[in-house]
Amino acid sequence: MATNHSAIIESSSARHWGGSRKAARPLEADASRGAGRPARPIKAASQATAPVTPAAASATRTTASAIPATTPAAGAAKAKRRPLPRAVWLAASLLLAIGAWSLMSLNAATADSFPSLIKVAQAIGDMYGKGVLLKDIGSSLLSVLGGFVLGFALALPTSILMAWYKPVENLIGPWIQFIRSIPPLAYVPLVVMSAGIGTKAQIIVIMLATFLVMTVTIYQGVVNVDPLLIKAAKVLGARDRDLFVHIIVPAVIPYIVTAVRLGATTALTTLIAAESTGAVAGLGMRIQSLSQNFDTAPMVLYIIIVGIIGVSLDQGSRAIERRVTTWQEK
Amino acid sequence: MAGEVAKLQVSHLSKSFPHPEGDLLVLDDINLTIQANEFVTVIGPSGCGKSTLLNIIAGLDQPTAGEVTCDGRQVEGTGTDRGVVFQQYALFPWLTVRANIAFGLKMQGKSAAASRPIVDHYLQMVGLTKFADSYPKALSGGMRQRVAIARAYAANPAVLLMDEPFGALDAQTRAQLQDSLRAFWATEKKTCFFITHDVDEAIFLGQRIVIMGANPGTVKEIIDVPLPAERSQAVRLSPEFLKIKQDVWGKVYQESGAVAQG
Repeated sequence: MATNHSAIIESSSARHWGGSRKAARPLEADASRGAGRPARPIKAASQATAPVTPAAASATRTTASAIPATTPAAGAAKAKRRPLPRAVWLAASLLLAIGAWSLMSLNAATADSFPSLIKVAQAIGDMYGKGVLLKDIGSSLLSVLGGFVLGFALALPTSILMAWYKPVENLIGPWIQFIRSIPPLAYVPLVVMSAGIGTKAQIIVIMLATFLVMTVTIYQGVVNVDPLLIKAAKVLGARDRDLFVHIIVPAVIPYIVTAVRLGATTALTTLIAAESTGAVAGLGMRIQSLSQNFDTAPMVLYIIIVGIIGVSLDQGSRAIERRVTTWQEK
Repeated sequence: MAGEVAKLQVSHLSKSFPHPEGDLLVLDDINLTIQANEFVTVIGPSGCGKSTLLNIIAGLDQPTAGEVTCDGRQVEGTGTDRGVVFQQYALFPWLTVRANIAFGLKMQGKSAAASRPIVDHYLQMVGLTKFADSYPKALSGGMRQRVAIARAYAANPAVLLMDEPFGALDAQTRAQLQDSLRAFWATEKKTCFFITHDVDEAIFLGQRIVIMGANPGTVKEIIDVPLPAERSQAVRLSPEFLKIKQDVWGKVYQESGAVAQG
């Protein structure tokens, strides 16, 4: 067969024993294609928090696209048109809100609901002086944290059991869906009957609400683990324990983080609802009691505090989410 | 062959799946003997059970009847003597390229220090040293499949089972990877069992081609590929290649003719 093929062999081996190099060349083409788009954003993302200097921006532009127009001057001109820093926008947005609020507080029709912001600021001192401000915040945070931690501790094993054992899913799945669709406020009185008014009842209600929302989310994560990855791990020698530690846990972590974020939000909403039906202290309870005296300035202060706690919980869990899911395709 | 134990031996293997209206026979009395370091390609119409056959050889699925032996030992589950490359890459997205390639070594109990040079070697082999610390999401399809091949190689199986590994890639990338795969195979011999639905690919890569028929899946014919061991893409235009192609094409399409007419 050698005679017939000699020409082909020659050309083939010439190419081939560029051999290792030939293998490398297409790869480079491949690599640059990869680097052009998806590879670079990783770097870009890690720098995104720091403002991009004009020099870096123009450098990125020259390498990223073939447009030769990026002389330093052009780069600077482009830099000028770049959007304002986030802090400037935040400040502007805050000023806008203060302006709108002030207008509402001057308008007779809405003045009752919109006390002057100066009075709201003064309320900080008043409530602190009465010794209730920190107590209320502390009490509420304790309930949120306690209920949330217990809810999470229950949700993790429950969701895994549901995902792995069909009978468990069939038996309790429908009830989780059913109770989840009831606003917690509806069953708060029922809890109070056994647990009494106070932190204990609130923790139970928050635990229940967060447990339900987190179980559903984590369950989805365990069910969604790609069976192909399990197969791939098995053929590489993974045993059951390895599969759990090295495949299932990392695959489910993004869902757990999402569950934590949803759980934190649920905890806060549920807390305010639970507290307003009766409590000894707490943000929700105070808002309710202040409203009975038409004491709007401290009420608004408390509402703002609830908002700040909510935003902090959300931002905190988002930060965790970003940190543990850098590998995810968006 | 006498006295020597075949690398892979598939004997009277059948597989049926339970079905309400009678069990569905997917593989019917499959017999195959593959020698060590042989490159065998498998081609057949969709639904001929070629992926099922690969899964059974890999130990990911069990036969209904018959058996598979590897080095004379009966296959009962997965084993590190048989590596698999999947069409959908199946990289672990939360691991870097390096950690993906090291995964099999880690499962075999090798320390990070011991596996590092091995991983470096295969990173270099597939030309992805620069991307060692990237996550799979940053790689193109062709690069991902290179990582998957490196990962399979690093675990050092004697048999490499590949289930349409280039099926999801564009023609150019596919040709590059075919070249690379042949180069890897030439430098580090493995017994390759490569499934494809592409006649050209089956001929270009294989020393022998197993042609399968469908409904139920059977081995229809096994043909030798009388092409030189060293092949470049140019071989595709040679008269020998075209002759084999015509032959295989006819046999594969005669098989799926019913589908083509329908």
